[in-house]
Amino acid sequence: MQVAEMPGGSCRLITYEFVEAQVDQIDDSQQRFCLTFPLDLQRILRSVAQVGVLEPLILRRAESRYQIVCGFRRFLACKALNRTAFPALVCRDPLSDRQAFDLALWHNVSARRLNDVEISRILRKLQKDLGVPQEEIIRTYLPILGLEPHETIRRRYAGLANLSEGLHLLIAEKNLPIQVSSLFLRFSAEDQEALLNFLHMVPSGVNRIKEMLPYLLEIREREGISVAEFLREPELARCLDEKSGPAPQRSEKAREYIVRRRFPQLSRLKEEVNQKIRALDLPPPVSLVFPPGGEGGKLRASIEFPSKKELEQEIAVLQKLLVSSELDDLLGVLSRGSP
Amino acid sequence: MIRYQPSTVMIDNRVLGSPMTQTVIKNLPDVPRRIISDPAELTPEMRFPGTSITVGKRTLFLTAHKGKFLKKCPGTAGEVCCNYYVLNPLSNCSFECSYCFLQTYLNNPFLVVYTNMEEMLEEVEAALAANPGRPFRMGTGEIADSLALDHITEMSRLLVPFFAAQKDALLELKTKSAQVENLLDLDPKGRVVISWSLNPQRIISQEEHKTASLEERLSAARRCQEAGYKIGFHFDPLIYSPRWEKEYKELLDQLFSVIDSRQILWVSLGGFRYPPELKEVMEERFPKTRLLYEEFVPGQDGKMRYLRQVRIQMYRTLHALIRSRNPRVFIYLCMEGPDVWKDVFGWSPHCQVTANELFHEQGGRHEFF
Repeated sequence: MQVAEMPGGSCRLITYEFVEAQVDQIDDSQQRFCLTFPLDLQRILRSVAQVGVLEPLILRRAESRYQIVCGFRRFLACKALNRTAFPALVCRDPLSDRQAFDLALWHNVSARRLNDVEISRILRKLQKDLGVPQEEIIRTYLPILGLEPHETIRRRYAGLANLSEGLHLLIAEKNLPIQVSSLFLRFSAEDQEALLNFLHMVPSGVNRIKEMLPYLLEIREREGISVAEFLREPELARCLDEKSGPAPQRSEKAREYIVRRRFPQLSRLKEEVNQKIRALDLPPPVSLVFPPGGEGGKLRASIEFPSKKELEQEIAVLQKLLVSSELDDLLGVLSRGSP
Repeated sequence: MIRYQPSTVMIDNRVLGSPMTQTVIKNLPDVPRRIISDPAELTPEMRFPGTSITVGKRTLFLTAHKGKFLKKCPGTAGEVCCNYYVLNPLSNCSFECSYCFLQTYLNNPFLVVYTNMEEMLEEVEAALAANPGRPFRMGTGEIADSLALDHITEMSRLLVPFFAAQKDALLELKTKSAQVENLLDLDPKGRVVISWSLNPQRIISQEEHKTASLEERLSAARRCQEAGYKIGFHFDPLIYSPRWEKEYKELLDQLFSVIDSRQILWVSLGGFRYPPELKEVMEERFPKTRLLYEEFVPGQDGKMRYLRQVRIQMYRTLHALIRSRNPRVFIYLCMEGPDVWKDVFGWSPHCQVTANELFHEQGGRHEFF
């Protein structure tokens, strides 16, 4: 016998019967209670192959067959390994869809942290499949999912369910924060697909994706072109060409191209400043650097020295620089773009 | 303009008897009221995003202000300070400007009216008494629109006579509304400036939701001018777009066709800037806003600004256009450093004392001080 506490304030005891269920007794046509995404079987296959199903699945009766409430991955592993039977707990009393869903939900949240795609799919199922009112979803289910009970939060997570399977995989695999993954919703379906292909071609971490998505949206708005069109541009394609170097290098080139398009004035300014810095031909221990984003409208100067003698030499370089017209010229260019 | 009508008036029971509360109740007879015994009971409701900004504004909250009403304008790090004082009898705004900094600045979502007005006026009197002969400029438009709720609070009818009786103070009521009815039969005695934040109508329609149209604002300014008020205009935020030059020129043409430029006390210019955390809120609340698509760089104060060359070009253009209509109009820059002042005007106040003196000279020219 096992005890389950149901959400919504109604506690009830569920009693189970332990059975050796046959694979062909399972009606696996509906996956309403399957909450896991992605259904990655790699590890469970190894485990079931080695030691069998360690934890019984939870089933409910559906006419003459059973439906899975908890344990889809274990079931699929058994099927894949041609197992004919597995241990299971069958609810003695009829279990409504809502009760079964709640049971599956508690089973999952008690054992692991759900990813954002799983949360979005759960919210979608609660609303669309089970007809749970929004207010109840917010009040009862968001806290179960570890979220604050607010409509804005419900809406943000529920929106992710509208994204494609491919993007769901990307979000889950990269464990993208909701602030980043919800940005995908601002792209059209065509743009989402183009973006997905792009992100597959340019291996990107969370930070890179977080930086790129707003830029792409903003380029779309600034230039009035779709993101799909932009990502097809020959110059960007050249950045992505495998011949142009290893993946991280290609990724950086693509990033630079996108940044140039998003910030054309600032990029031109940066290029002009850098050209002028290069023209100064400063000896390597002395350097001037254009700060990221032109922050503060200031140049950063640095020197490195192992001895007083070298310090003296580098100070002399800086003193010469101080009275040069080239420095005035450089600072004049810099001031145009300063904040 | 959409006149503000709350869905609930929430009243701190400690201010039930105050004259301001009675005025609000008189002007909102059919709006449901909720009396609360302790503002602490609102804590869960006051937490964002529990009550969203949009929903929060539907509640008008009457309570007493516990701290100081009068504060020095915080200005911004490294920029020229003009020594302005802010007076905060209101908090939050019924208008919905996409770029409004209050969206990330305030810590509660309600529209708040502080009803202990007598204490506020006593505080002003005390500040003036403590600094005899020192002229003060102060305004109520820092964390609220000075006139957007005036049909409910009638606050201007308290403030104008009070400041009209002060020797060394000048009150600025800054607004994007056209609600000037309460002002027109009062005599400001030269101590009250009504000022409007202006933008081209396209920007008003796209970004300054629920506010008065440009035509309504200018018409209200004209009425105030005719009623004896000095007026001011704030081109702040100045918004860059490919059409900015044409649109602002047309705006100035319209302005000077309606307003007597000799009666303009001051004009400020300030490029659109925003704290980085505002971006997400703007995108969420105003997905159609186009303001964030320009190029911005972070300034010393952390706020994002247009590139300096862009701002200077805009300031110079507006400065020249305004001066071509009236060379004596006093124009200043808001939240810009001395170097930008120099690039635009050819000089800059070397310190806040100088900046303050400029205003006082201007006030003197208009017989304010």
